[in-house]
Amino acid sequence: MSTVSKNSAENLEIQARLDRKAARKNVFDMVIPYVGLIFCLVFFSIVTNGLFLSSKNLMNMIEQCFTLVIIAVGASFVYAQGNMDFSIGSACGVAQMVGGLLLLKLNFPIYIVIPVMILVPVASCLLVSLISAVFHVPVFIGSMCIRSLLAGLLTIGVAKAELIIPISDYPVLSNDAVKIITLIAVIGIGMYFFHFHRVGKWAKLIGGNQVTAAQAGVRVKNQIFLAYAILGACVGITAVFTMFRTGTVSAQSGSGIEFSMMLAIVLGGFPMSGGEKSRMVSAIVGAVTVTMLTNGLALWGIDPNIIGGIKGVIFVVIIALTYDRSAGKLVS
Amino acid sequence: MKQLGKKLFGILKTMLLPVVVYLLFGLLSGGRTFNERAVLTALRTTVQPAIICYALLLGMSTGVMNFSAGAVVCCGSIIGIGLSNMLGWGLPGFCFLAIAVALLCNTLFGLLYNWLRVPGMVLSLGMLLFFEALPRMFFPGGGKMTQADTFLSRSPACFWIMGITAAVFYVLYNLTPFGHNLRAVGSNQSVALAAGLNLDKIKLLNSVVGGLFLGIAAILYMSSQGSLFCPSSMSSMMVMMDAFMGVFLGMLLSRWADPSIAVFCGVLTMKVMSAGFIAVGLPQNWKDVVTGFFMLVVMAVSANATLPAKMKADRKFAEEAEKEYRRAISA
Repeated sequence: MSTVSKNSAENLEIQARLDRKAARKNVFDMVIPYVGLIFCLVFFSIVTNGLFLSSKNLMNMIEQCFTLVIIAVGASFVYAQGNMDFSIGSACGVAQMVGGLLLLKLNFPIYIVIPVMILVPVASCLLVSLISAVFHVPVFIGSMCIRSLLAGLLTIGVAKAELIIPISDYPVLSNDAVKIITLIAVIGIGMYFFHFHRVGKWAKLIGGNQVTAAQAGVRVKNQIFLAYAILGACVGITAVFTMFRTGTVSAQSGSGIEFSMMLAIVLGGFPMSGGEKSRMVSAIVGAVTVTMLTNGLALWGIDPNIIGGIKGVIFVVIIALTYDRSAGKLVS
Repeated sequence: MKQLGKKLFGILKTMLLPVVVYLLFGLLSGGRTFNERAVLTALRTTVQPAIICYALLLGMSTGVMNFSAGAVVCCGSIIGIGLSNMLGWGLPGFCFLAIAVALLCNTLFGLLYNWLRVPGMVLSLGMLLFFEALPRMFFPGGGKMTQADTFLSRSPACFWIMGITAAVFYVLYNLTPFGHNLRAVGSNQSVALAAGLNLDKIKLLNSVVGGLFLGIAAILYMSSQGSLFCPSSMSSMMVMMDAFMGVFLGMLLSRWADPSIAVFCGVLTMKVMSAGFIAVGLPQNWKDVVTGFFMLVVMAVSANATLPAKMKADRKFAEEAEKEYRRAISA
């Protein structure tokens, strides 16, 4: 009898120790993205002699942030399901190309061009989800194929010359107030659907366990399509504002967004495998940190092509710090 | 004897795919590709991606998809030629250094993979960006090879290299404990671990051997291009795109022939196809679109390859169950 009591006391102690450890890890995972954000702010302010915090650069960063934060809102739904999309950069570029061609070559009115620009990435994201959900092609590889396909289309579209958009004809789309209202609206709607609506809850449930989600009555494939459609719509909105900010569409348009997004997800502490710990604010914090990192390194005088390498190293380090290693040696 | 005949028949079946594709595009282009030069070009351009394929196949045998392979090839080419030119070591020096750099890069990947225990696909993405930036740190202008040294990527040298590499791959993959361990880990990691295999050692060795193949590919890549700019913004992915498709097609074909032959035929099919599209009048710009589309088709077919067999088995099972049911009712 006494042995049993001793064993159960030991078990309780072990359980309490494990709970404390898990709680510590939770706090660590929650705090580290904000520490990273503050570190970037302080570090780049020092190394750039305050230039990083100048009003001009802050405005510049808000412009850069706008793109990534809006995509982060859409990406939260996809990443919460444990999926990803590696074609969003090319989709953004193709949307700009289609918009530019409609506007310049076919003289379509802007109220038709904008919805078409939003629909292009929606279609491409739906294609990625279709390939993954219906044809069982791993989403990472499927989206890589779509990326190659879209990058080719973009190259063909701007092969003769870059498209120069007459941005002065559309002052509304480069107006800061419009951008801020759009940003707040997208974040607000995204937050509501992610945290208070069944779409977000089901996305996290699918990320946690797809079989359980299906057994609980969730139409998993439909929810996957919906999440990708939301991401596509966010990429489309970004494409519209980016085209009217830069004023040109080239073969490089949209390039690098996909990796920046992935980095944002990792830096923000958003779990790569999705599930119940997914929080939209993590993706947004990650997006802000990535923007600071890119801007700060450039301002510090680092070669833009080396910045890619630095981002790669940071990506590996953060993954190493935060990845769940419960699989032990059986990782592949 | 019967076994040998079966093997030869399998190889013939595998080789039939590029031949059929070649004949199809030859007919569609009005016989424009029916000449010795077109055949030789297709074979020659297959060599370098096929060697990258071997490296990718080794990784994929253990379930690791390495997206940084293209960046490792670029790294080996640019740093190898840069150092060789700087030290005045000539072509032998370049070959040695290209292989050494690729070996180091892939070994670093393997070490980090074992140490960090994160999925290879995710890790390779971060490493891709790092390896792309690496040559720019030392040789920002890229690398340049003298015209006289570019013979390695031309006939007949490239075919000798291909033959030797394929033979090495065949021996390593089929006739050594390393190859058997690799396939054991690939088919079931848990069982392999329980059987006493040292997963970390096998995976690290796999990365080292993969690096050797990527180093050989780096030599051929530099030789075929003559001069190279440093890659950026994941442009190195394009270096491995043909190999990437070839490896999936090769895996489909490997049910009939050894992977060393199957992946070569897979890459050759893709090369014949892209040359065929140009021959039928498709602009060069469309290459990426066609490549992406075919890769998608190949992936979809590859992912669902067992579906017809499964459906057939299900149907048979249903028929038997129906028969059993009727028999029970009548009794």
